[in-house]
This record gives sequence, C-alpha cells and structure tokens, in this order.
Amino acid sequence: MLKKFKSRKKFMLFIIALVIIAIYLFPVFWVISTSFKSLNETMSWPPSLIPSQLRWQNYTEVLESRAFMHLKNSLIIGVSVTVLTVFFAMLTGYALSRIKKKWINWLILLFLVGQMLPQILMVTPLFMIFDKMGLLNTYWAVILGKTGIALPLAVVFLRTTFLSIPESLEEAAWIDGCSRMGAFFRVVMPVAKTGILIIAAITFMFAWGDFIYSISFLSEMSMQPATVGLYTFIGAKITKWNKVMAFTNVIILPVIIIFITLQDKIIKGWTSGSFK
Amino acid sequence: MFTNLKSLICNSKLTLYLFLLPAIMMVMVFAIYPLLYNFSLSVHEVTSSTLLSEDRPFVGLNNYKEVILEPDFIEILRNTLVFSIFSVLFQFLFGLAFALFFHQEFPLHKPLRGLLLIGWVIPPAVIGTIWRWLFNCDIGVINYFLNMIGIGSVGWLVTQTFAMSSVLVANIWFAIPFNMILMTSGLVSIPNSIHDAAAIDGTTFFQKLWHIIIPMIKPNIYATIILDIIYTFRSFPLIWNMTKGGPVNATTVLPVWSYIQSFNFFNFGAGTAIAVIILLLLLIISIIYIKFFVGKEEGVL
Repeated sequence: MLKKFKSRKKFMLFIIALVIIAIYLFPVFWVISTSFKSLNETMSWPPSLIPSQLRWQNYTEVLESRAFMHLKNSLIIGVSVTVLTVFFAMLTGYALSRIKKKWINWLILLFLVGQMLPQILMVTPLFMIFDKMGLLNTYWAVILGKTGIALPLAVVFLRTTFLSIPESLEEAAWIDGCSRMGAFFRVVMPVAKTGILIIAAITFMFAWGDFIYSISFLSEMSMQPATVGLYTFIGAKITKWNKVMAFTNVIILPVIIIFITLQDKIIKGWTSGSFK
Repeated sequence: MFTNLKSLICNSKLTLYLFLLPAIMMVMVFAIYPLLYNFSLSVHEVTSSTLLSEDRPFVGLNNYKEVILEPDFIEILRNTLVFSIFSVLFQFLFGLAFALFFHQEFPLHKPLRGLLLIGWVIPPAVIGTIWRWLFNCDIGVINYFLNMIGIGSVGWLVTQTFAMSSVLVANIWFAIPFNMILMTSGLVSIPNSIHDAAAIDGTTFFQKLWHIIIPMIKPNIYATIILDIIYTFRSFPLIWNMTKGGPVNATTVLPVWSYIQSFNFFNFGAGTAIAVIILLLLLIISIIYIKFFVGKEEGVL
C-alpha cells in the first residue's frame, strides 16, 4: 500500500517536472516553430503553434544570404579565443598549483577579481587601445580582448584541476629522466584531459556569445560574428520573423549541442569556478 | 653546452615561473590596464575630435558632474536598481524552488533538470532577440496567450510602463538555471541522515526548509546572490537587443547608458565616467551586502 503511494507520488512529480520544462523551454520551442513557418503563417493571427509545413528554405536562404558568413566569423573568433585561453591557462594554472609561496595567493586573487570585471568597463579603453594598435576591424581585437577576460576563470579552474593531480606522479617521471617540461606535457596533461576539455567548452561558448566587443571593434559587416549579424539582420528585416528565428536557431544550436554532450562536466566546472 | 642550456630551461624551477607569464600578461594588458585606462579617460575630455590626439585636456571630475546632473540620471539609476533588485530576487527564488523540486527522487530527475539549463547557454544577446519576438505586441505569442485567457493584448516593448517588466522576464528566464545549479550544489552537500532525522520528527516541508535546509546552504546562498548582483548589474547585450534602452529611457540601465554615451554620441569621457560609477556602485553594494548579511561567517566566496 505504502509502496504504491510512493511510486504514485513519484509519478506525479515526474508529470509536474514535464510541465515545468514545457513552460520553461517554450521560448526555445517557439524559435524552432517560427523558423519553419512561411511569412504568411508567421504574420497570421492567431498564431499557429505548430507550422503547417516545414519550410526548410528559411534556413537555406538565411544561411546563403548572411548567416553562413557570420557563423564562420563566430567560429574563427570562438576557436582562437579557446586555443589561446586554454593554452595560457594550462601553463599558468599548473604553475599556480605547484609554486608554494605566499605571494602566489595575490596572483590567485588577481584572477578571481578578473572574473568579475564587467565588459562594459573595458570596452571604451580597449576600443582606443586597439585603435592605436591598428587592430580595429580585425579579428585580433575581439580575440585578444575576449581572451583577456576569459582567462581568469580558466586559470582558476585549471589550477583546481592540477591541484587534484598528485605531484608524486610527475616526480616519478623526473626520475625516469623526463624533463620538467616533458613531464608536464607527457604525464600531467593526459591526466588533466577532462578538465581541459571542460574549460575549452566553457570558453568556446563564452566567446561564441560575445556581443559587446564584437559590435564595438568590428564595424565591417563581413567580419562580424553571428550575435552581431543577427542584431543587424533584425534592423534590416524586422518583419521577417521566420527568417530571424531560423538565424537565431543556427546560432544557438551549436552551443546547445556542446552543452548537452558535456552537460554534467560543464556544470561542475562552472560552479567550481564561480565558488573558488 | 647546448644540452646544458636546454636542461637548465627544462628542469629548473624557472620553468614554473615562466609558465606564469603569458596569462598574467594577457590579463594585465587586456583587462587590468583597460580598467585603469578607463579611470584616466573619465577625468579627461574625450570626444570624437580628441579621441586620437595625445593631448586630451584634463577636466577633473567634470565628466562625473555632467553625468550626474543630467536630467535622465536619476531615472536611469532607478531603472538600474529596479532591474537588478527584481532580477536577483526572482531568479534566486525560482532557482531555489527548481533546485528543491528537482532534488527529489523521481524518474529521470537529473536529465530533466539538465534540459532546464538550455536557457543558460544561449548567448544573452540572442535571448534578447528571442524575447523581443515573444513579446511582439501585434502578433507575439505571449499576447496570444493573454488574449486566450481574456486579458487582451499588452504593449510590452512599446510602452514605457511594460518595457521594464519585459526585459526583467527575459533576464530572469536566462538566470534561473544558473541559480538552480548553484543551489543544487548546496543541496547535494546536505547529508541524507539529516533529511531522515527530520522525516522521523514529522516536520513539515516549510519547517524543514526554514530550519534545516536554508541554514545549511547559507554559504551557497550568499555566494549565489553576490554573483547574481554582479552579473545583473553589468547586463548589457540582453537589454540592448530587446529594447536598446527604450522606449524613451524606460529600460536604460547604467551599462546601456555608458555604451550609448561612448559609441552613439562619441562622448567617451561621459561613457567611461558612467562605467566607473557602475564599478563604484557595485563595490558599495557588495560591501554593504557582505557586512550586513554575511557578517563574519567564514568560507564565503
């Protein structure tokens, strides 16, 4: 009797959970639904919840006219920021985990504070710095700026990862005749593989979503990433919401896929980085 | 000789110190230096004509005076506080409620919780666009639902009264998963034996929440709320993509204003002064918050 009640309660909880998710994810459903509608159906009132037919042309048209170019830019920026950030953070995170001096805490504090800095505080000065360096309207402006603020979280996160790897492991490698640097690349890195993968995914999603730096440093439309592309696209095609939503969907799909694949690990990484 | 040099570089402790350099340099040059440069710009006259010249006249606190005496300042400050307070309050409460709900044992509770996190990985700029469509006042789906239940259409983004509520809803929607996850990591740390003991004592859910769960996850709550404040206070892309701060100034918060001053009016002096004000307010709020709520408890942040 009691057991039956218990499982019934579980069933009710399950149903409530589905309702919560249906309500919460409705905006995402609406993006997908709108993205397949014809313009007529998009503008009709009352709106149809499910498109009468799947109009894939919205996607091909948007991709061909602009979205593909912007996605390519996002990819260039995203990958470059990720590579730079992960590589530098690996070295520094490792050093921070192995140097046992009092002043090292000050450096850790620097990275903790760096995590909190609002981009809006850096955008004007960086605009002028990049202007002086002649880097405005190059990918480098966004890549360098974004790496500067992506690094703190990555460093703090990878330091924790390296702390969990026992030093005896490397010492054994030194005895076997491996240099310190060799030991780092051949022994420590493979063990820290998962941590490195997680921070790479987090950094990529962060760079993929950049808006402030890109819109300020890249006035050339052909160089702008998808977030800015979408913004100017709406300016031009405000009423064609079916196309706007098709564009939206191709921007969010890659990050959603990355996230779902690495979900548990990303959550752990993000929360540990926020708390330290 | 060469091998000696190589082994010196590869084996000595020096390698470790060299490892520190790249990231420190990057953060210094592209985060800390701009931060300091921002202070310097805010006390100089920086307009489009003096932008590239080296001799920008020093104007002391004039930029700050100009910004604060601006008739819109009070309204924008109020917008910022309204936006931040309501955002943080609701995203935290929903986050906690969802965390508690999905912490219960039922089939698939973990993967289902994972689905909720999708809202959190979508770039804020894109979230602004999505909600702009949902809140569309003529053919938007939210007005459709409101018509269905007999309320009728609301001019969400086009009227000054409702624009702030619209951006709030979008921002809260975005931040709920983050709060839920941080609260969940607190809940997992409560040992099962405590739940069992409470169950035997026959405590109600709210007694248990108030007397057992909340005190135990207090450090997580403090940390979550301070992060919420920091993230909300600097919010820009979401609002910019939804309303551009409008209609009129209804959704202009300080970061939006700073951006408009710098990049629409090319009044970089004012833009950077507003940015400094954001930082100062953030510091003041954090200090008050830590002093009053967190007190001397250790292990927070």
